[in-house]
Parts: sequence; C-alpha cells; structure tokens
Amino acid sequence: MARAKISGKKEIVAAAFALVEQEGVEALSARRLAASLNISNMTLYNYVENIDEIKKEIIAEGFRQLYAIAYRSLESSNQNNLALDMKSASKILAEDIFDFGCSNKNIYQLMFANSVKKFREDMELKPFYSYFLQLLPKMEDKEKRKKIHKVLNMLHFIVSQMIMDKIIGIHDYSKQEFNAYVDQFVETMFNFD
Amino acid sequence: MREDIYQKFLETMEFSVEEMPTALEEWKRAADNIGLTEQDISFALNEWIPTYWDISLRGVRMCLGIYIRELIEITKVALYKEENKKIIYGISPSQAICFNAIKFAGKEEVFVSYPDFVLATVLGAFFDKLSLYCGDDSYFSDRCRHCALNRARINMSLVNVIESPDAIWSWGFYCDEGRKTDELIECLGEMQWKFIPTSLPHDSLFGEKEDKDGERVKYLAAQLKAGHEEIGKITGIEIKNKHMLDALVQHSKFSKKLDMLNKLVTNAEPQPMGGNELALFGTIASIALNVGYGQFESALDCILEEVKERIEKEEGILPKYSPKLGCHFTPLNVPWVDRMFLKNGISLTFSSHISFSKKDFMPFDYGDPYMIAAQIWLRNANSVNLGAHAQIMADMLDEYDIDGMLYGFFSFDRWLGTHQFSLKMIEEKSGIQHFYLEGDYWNDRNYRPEDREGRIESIAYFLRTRKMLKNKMNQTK
Repeated sequence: MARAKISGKKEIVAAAFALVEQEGVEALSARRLAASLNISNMTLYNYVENIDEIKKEIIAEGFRQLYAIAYRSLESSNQNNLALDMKSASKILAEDIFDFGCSNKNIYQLMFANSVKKFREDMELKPFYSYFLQLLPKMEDKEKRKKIHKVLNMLHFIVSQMIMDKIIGIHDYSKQEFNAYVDQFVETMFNFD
Repeated sequence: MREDIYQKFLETMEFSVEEMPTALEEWKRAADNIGLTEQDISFALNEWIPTYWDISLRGVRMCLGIYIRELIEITKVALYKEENKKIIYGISPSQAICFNAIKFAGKEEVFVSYPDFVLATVLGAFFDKLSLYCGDDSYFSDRCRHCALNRARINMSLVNVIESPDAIWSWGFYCDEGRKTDELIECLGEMQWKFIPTSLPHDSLFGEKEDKDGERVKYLAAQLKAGHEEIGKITGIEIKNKHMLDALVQHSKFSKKLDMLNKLVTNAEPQPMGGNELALFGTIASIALNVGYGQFESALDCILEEVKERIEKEEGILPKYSPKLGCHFTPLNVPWVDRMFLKNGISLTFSSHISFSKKDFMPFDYGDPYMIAAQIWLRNANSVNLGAHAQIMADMLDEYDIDGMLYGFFSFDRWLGTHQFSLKMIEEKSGIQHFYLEGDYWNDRNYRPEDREGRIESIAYFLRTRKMLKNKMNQTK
C-alpha cells in the first residue's frame, strides 16, 4: 500500500537524482518517481508543482555537490600551503568538474545540455552556471575585471564542451589529455597584468 | 509559585520594574487579544527568540521590546476610540515622516501606527505564529500573487484584531496592492474602513534621476500635502509645516545613526552582529510608532555602544574575513535564513531596503518640508525607475565591504517582473555577485527551510571559495 506522506521535498529530490543518474532524464516521470518512493502521484504533487520543478531541484543538488567538491579541493591545497592563485585554482576546479561529469554523466547532461536554457536563465541557478566566476574577485579596475571575466567564461566553455563530448561519446578525452588542454589554455590566456 | 512567563518575557525585553505592573496586565490582555497563548510566549522566550536573536545584546532586547510596546498600543485602539482619540493607520511601504508629522500635530489626541506591519512582524519574527492570520485564504488565495501582509490585514480586520480606523492612508507610490486591499476591505462592508489612496504614476524615463525632476518632486509633494489635508478634514487635526519639519529632523537624526550602525556592523572584521539584529533596528524606524521614539533612540544608542565594544575586542559572529552577504529583503521576517547562512560560514549584513546611499545625505534642493519629503522618497532605490534604482543600489554597495548580494523572498510579486533585469545592471555596475532565493518573506510556508538548505550551501561554497582565494592573494601580496 502506498505511503500517504513522505519526510519532505528532499526525499523526492534524492530519489529523482538517483533515478536520473541511473537511467537518464528520459526516465523521469511522475509515475516512475512516485513508484520509487512508494507514494501516489497525488501525494507527489502535494510537494512539487510539476516535473520541471523536480528537474530544477536535481540541477540545484548537482551544483551543491559540485561546489562542495571544489571547495574541499581548494581548501586542501590551501591547508597544504600550495600556491593558490587564479591559475592554479582554475586548474583544480577544471579537474573537479571533469571528475564530477565523469562520475555523474546523466546528471551532468541535465545540468549543462543546451536544451536546458530555461534552467540556465533561472535566477536561482544562474550564478552557479558561471562555475569559474567564483574565482573572480571584486576589483577596482573594471576593465581588468571584464577581461578576466571573459577569459574565465572561455575556460568554462572549453571545459564544458570537452566534458560533454566525452559523455556523449564524441571524443573520449582521458583525464591527462583534458588537463593538458586546460593547462595550455590557462598558461596562455591568464596574463592579466 | 509558578513562574509568570509573561513577566519574564517583558523582563527579557527590558521593561523596567516601575512600568511592570501596568505593562504586564496590558501585555497579557494584548497577547490574548491577538491569539497568543501562554505556551506561545514560553516557546518564543525559551526557544524561538534565543535561536534567532542575539539577546546577549541589551540593545537588541530593548529593540525587541519596542515592537512589543507598539503591539500593546495597537491592541488598545478600541479603548482609544472610546476616549474619542482619532485613529490613523499607515501601510508599508511608505514614508514614516508624513505619519510622524500627524503624530506631532495631534499628539495624544491621535493614534498613529502601522498595525498590520507590526502584528505580522511580531507574530512571524518573534513567535513563528504568522499562520494565525495568514492561514485563511478566503480573500486572497495562494494562487493569487499578492503580499501576505495584505492577507494578514484583511484577516486581522475582519476579527477586529485591527480595529477600524478613522482613516488609513494607503500609499501606492510603488506598490498598489495595499490600497486595493483597503478597497476590498471596504467592499466587504463588515466594518467602516475609510481609506485615503495616494499614488504616483510610474511614467519617468529609464535612468532618469527622479529626485532632480522638479515637476515630479512638486507633484509628489502636492500628493503628500493633499493626504494630510484629507486627514485634517476627517480628524480635525491640522498638520502644519512645522510638524513636517519636526518629523524631518527626527528622520535625519535616526537615518544618520542607522547608517552608522549599518556600516559599523558590515565593514568590521570580524562582523560584530548578524543581519537579523541589524534589520530589527532599520525596520522599526521605517514605520510610525504611536509609542514614540524615546525607547528606540535609547536602544539605538545602546546597540551602537555594544557594537563598538565588540569591534574593539574583535568579537564577532564568525571568524575574521568570513564572507558577507548584503540583503535586498528584510531578513528579520525570515529569521532562519540568517542563521542557516551563519551555520554555513556566511554572515548576512545590511538590508538595502532600510539602508542609505550617499544620495540620502546630500543637501536638499528645496526649503518646503513637503518638497523635502518628496525628494527623500525619490532618492530611495525602491521608489524610482529601474535605471535609477540600479545606480542608487550600485552607489550604496560601494560603501559596504561585502562579497555578494542576496535577493529574493519576493516571490509574491516583484520578482516576477523587472527586478531580474535591474539585478544584472547592478551586478555590472558594482562588480558584486548577486544571488537569488525564491521565497516569500511575509509568508514562507511554501518554502520550508530544509528545502532551501541546499541552495544556501551552494551559495556558501561559492562565496567561501572566492574569499579563500582573496585572503590567500592578500597574504602573498
């Protein structure tokens, strides 16, 4: 017999996250999700408005995990007193997002595929799509800031495209290859002084 | 003997021994009148308030007490009506100056307050009991996008928690939901509900500095004067220029002190006090208080001293150089937000709704008090066209050492519209990263804290990463 209640929206998001990662976003439907939670469709809709809301929550959860990984990597470098400037931090972040994409292929596709324009434009999610912009400090020199902003956006574009190419089987970059590309881009483009 | 929780509550709110006998009786009656039980008082005192408010600060306790004093006043309106006092209400958002001028003119013969605002704030922020008056959706359904403050006003009016006034001056200068609500209350016909609607066309050009448009200032000043004249006709109280001047002087005094408090708290390392506490002071100053401003001034002076002391001792709510977020909402109405960020290593700071830009302290172009009041209104970021709004906001952000701005909690209206556009402009002008959280700061029952936790964690990781790099770079310089 189906449960009448669940602990909250978090439980739905966790189940949806697992479902999408295992079977792809195409498998995400109210019926499948409700069945996996042992609740009725009606109970599901007491917690969420529609499937798009669930997709948004999955993307948000993906970003939460991704940003947590990135923070921990940088913190660990910081604590080990390694050089931590924009160049080295960019490389660390790129590697983290590569690892995240490889181990969460379906979630990554949902987060970054071009078909999800509306989520990219969602005001809650938007800042998190600018993954490398967390490295961009507030600075007096607005021109310099704009320049750095552009270069970080370019890095984001390259990294996203390479990971997507790998996931959908266009080019199976190894981690070493990926890092070499990132390294070359950063060493060539990060000259802001 | 069983402890009197009502008395303990008032003692915590810094009510003096001398005023206790009268205040206690009034507080018990007021609590009962608005539907708060002994259990609710106990919960607020022992759990809710200590969780969300830093009551180790005397200034904070005093300020909380002012909200309670005003709430008690509001529950005495029926009595005041029997004494033939005139009753005038204001609604938010509006400018307290014009309402304080009415009080300066009528003194003890007039009652002036913002009952829905005070009740909703006290019930929501201090008792987690806004549901008492926001639960009934007979007149405003959840699907009808609206500010829950208006739903609370209707529901409170219909059960006489808010008594009918001689007049409610319904400002529609940037939000017209208030006067529509008053019209609805009047149409329901269950009580006399005289309202004076005042508005200003939103017809200025994008980017135009509205405070410098003489015709616009003149038009607005005329609207303010017309409102006072209408109130004069209804109450027999003549509001003169000198009363407006008294109110302007009071406004200027408190603006300077609040600005000092905002900057001390936001720009200090470590940050000495949280965003909830900071908003407590700015919020109560944004409305007219029938109880007067003596207690408020004492609370403000007290908190300024306590904040300075903490800064000197380098005592903070988080370690030095932790990331800070400014707010484009008033966090005290959703107090869990501040504490959830704090748990994630981020402090909320000033609220742009109740803060000042350098424009606010520039000399005025006029001598007439109504023209000055109009110019003050048109210097406020939220009162003007989007282009001017973005510029005023960017100027304001320039004065604060913050790592980001947090927008949101306006899911009931503004965010469906143009603020998403202005946010991009402010980000560009200020270079400060903006974040947005869905929510409704007057009624967040559809946005449970546990469902927002993930978003807050993501923002926190983003900001902590950026701050870590900034701090590292500063070390290596």
